[in-house]
Amino acid sequence: MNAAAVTQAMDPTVAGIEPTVYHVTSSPDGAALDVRNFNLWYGEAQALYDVNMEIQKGLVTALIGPSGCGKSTLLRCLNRMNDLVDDVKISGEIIVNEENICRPAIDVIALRKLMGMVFQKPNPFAMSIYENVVYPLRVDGVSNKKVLNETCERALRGAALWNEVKDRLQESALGLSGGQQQRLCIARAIASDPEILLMDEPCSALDPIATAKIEELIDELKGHYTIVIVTHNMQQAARVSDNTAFMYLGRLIEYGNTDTVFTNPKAKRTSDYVTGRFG
Amino acid sequence: MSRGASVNGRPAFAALLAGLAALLAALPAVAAPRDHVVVAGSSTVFPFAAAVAERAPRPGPLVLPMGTGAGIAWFCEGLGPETPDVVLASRPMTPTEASACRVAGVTPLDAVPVGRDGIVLATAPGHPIVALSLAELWLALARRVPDPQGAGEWVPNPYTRWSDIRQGLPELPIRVLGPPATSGTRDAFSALAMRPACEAALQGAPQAEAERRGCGELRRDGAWVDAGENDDVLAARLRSDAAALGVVGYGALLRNAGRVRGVCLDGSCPSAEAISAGSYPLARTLYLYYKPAHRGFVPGLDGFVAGFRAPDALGPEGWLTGLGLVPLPQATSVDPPPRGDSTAPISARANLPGRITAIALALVLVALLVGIGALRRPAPANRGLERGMGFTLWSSAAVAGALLAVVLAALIVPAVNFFLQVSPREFLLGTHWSPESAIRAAQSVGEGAFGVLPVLLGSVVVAGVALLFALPLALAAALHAHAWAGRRFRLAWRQGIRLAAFIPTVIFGLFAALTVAPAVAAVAGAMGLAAAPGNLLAAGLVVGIMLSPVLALRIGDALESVPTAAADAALGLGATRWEVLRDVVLPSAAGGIGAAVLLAVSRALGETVVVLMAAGLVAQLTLDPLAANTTLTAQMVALMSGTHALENVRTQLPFVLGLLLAALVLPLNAWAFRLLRKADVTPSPVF
Repeated sequence: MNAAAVTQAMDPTVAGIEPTVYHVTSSPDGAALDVRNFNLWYGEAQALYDVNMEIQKGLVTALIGPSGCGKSTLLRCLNRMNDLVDDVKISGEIIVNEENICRPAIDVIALRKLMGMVFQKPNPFAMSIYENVVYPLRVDGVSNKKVLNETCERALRGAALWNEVKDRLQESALGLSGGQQQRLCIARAIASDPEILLMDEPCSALDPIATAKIEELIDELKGHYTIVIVTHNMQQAARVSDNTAFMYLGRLIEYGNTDTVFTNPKAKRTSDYVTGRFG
Repeated sequence: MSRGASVNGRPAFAALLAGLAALLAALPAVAAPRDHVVVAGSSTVFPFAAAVAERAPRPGPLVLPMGTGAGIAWFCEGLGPETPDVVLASRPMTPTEASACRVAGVTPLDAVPVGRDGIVLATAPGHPIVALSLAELWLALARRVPDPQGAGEWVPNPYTRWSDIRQGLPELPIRVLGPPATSGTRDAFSALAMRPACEAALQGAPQAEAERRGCGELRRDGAWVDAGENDDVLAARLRSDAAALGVVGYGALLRNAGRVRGVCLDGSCPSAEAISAGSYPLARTLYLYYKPAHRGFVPGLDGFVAGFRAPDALGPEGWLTGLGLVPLPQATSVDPPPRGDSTAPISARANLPGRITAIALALVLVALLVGIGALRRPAPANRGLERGMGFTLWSSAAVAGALLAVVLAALIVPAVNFFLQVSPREFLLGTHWSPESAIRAAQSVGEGAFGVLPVLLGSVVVAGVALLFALPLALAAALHAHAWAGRRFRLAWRQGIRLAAFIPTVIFGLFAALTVAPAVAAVAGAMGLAAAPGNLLAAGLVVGIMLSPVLALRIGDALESVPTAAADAALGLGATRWEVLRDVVLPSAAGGIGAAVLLAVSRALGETVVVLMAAGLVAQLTLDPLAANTTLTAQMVALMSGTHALENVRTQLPFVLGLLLAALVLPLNAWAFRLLRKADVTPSPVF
């Protein structure tokens, strides 16, 4: 391990813990999100330790690691969804568009509109398919029928769902299959044209065929959006992502080019994990 | 029969308050013997008892007017400092009451006649009527009388002028002011004056036997005027209404001597001597009952009882005589006779069934303990044992089911009996509710007196006001706890709300009657609106306050049951908390919230104590929330007060109202539970 190539974690309490290994594929557009010295506590228990990570614009970044390693927690910090949890304390910064989004003064609502989010379980609203997709616009106060219709079609096409639902837009979204529901949620997440898509294990509740469709979709969306995806499925991470971050016990162990992480990991824990020795 | 100033207004209401106050006052006394005598019972005897109490050494006796029936019921709950030592009665105990006393161990029980009281027909001094016969009085006031044309049929009272009844009487319109149906004086007037005259008239007319049921009923065409409970006010009205007669207690005649005059009945004029000797027809004996067993720990008990016999109390110038108490004839006052079966001696045999019951209960208890002991032992795999166990459990369930069926039957049988006498149509669609007057007048056919609509409307208005008040409050509280408050606050809040749901409703009743109702009346008065001192708005508001914790908790349950995923999704899309609630949470929780509201409505419809205490007890067909009105439940309680036989319509009516209430509330609850099942809400354990 090349000590010069790594950034030493500065926290003295973490002395003895191996520093994060970085070998990131950079995007020509630079970083979309820059997480700096980020710590998080749930009450007394620390869940994230000194995470430093630049998420590259227009690329797909996968967060992997065993359950409880903090990958979902990190994801939910990116759009401040952890605000909803009681007793959360944080330190450090997350920079988006040259602004620290961890400041209390930030407009959280505007921040969340900047990022679409897709959850583990498909969670359409109990409304029609159409209303589900245009909901972000409704929240923005858009009521122009033409704009709404166009957005709906664009988003559903973007989520590769248009052909399946175009004839029943006014039917309840709850009548769709699980895979369709999840793609509907993706359509909803991209309807307001966000810069960043956050996906929290988007395929964990889906069958392999639906999963394949979502993965295809992620591939298509890459480039338009910066995508951060949390996944338990290492093959999926290997298939869809450009960079992969491996987390373990709240620490970022290794963050870099996906192929390298899976074929030639630099950290021992990463290699143990991706070769199936634990996790 | 004057009423003390402290029981003016609605006597049942005042009596209830007094009863509650007494209960509260008695609570601390449970721990230690009392230092003062507690006296309860008849409001007719109350002024005399209060006068005696005033002259007793400190701490003086506590005298609580609540009506003879209620007083005796409390008195007969048992021995001990939490029960009254003395009960005042304007009639002797009934056999039922005496046996209730015996069962509760209130023996020995001493009855003391304290004096006599008369009901007086009063007029302004210059009134041409100075004497009437009871038969004439009955003809003037009865609802149905023999046809004056002499056909032997009975007809609705045709007399409009006194001269129609007998030539010698003046040509004045018949107008008699008297106490309303809720009054004991009215009760006694009916029993002492109207009923005997009616029955005498029936003696010679066997073909009119069907009229016996309506005996004693007063006419309702305006000749009899309900003029309030306060005898002195009534006496004042007689001076301005020179043509009218008034029915008052003898005390009012004394207090207003010179301003009103008593009419002689059947040749006997109302005087202390005539009432005392029993020659005046509308006279009765007043009693007090006390518990000699309490002498040991209640100082002053004998002094209080002896106070009625004080040498300066009963003479011609005595202070009790001045209040209108008529001394007993000399013979009775020296040696009080036991009153019929009211103080029947208790034989050892009477207790035998009691002992058998006690032994049976003890045996059941022992069997249960042995059974539980056997269950704790490791059981061998034995088919017989298994079967026996199954059979035991099955039979227990069967007993429970059978008991429920008995309860239902006990509800249905009196209701059916009621509807054999009053047509369901009359009951459900009638708009006039005054069962008390119908019952007091011994009217069981009750034309127009059993229309439940005003009472039903009262219940609906109370529930409506309660919901209008509670729903926004509870919804806001639940939404805040759900979406704004932190976890710790939410837990504390839910805990607090659960506790609030367990506040006894009596507390809310006191709050409603003593704080909210006067405040509502004052505010309405300041705004130029007429408001009754006890009104539906006050009752509804307090029921609303009472409902809101449970409602908030149930709405909270409904909100909790909405999967957080959808709410998270909306938040993730940049919706504000309010947008999430409006667009995602509330639509999904609508079923659960609807169920919470339905349950709240049925609770409000079933609420009794608050309404009884704060809404007034007058039935009116009105939607005005500022008016006094009454509800199904309050009427059930009002009609159950006192002890009556099951054949009496008065006793059957509460069962009918109960069935009606159940018929209203059960579908609401069923609907609510359906909604809850559909919405997949697990209700919190509150009731």
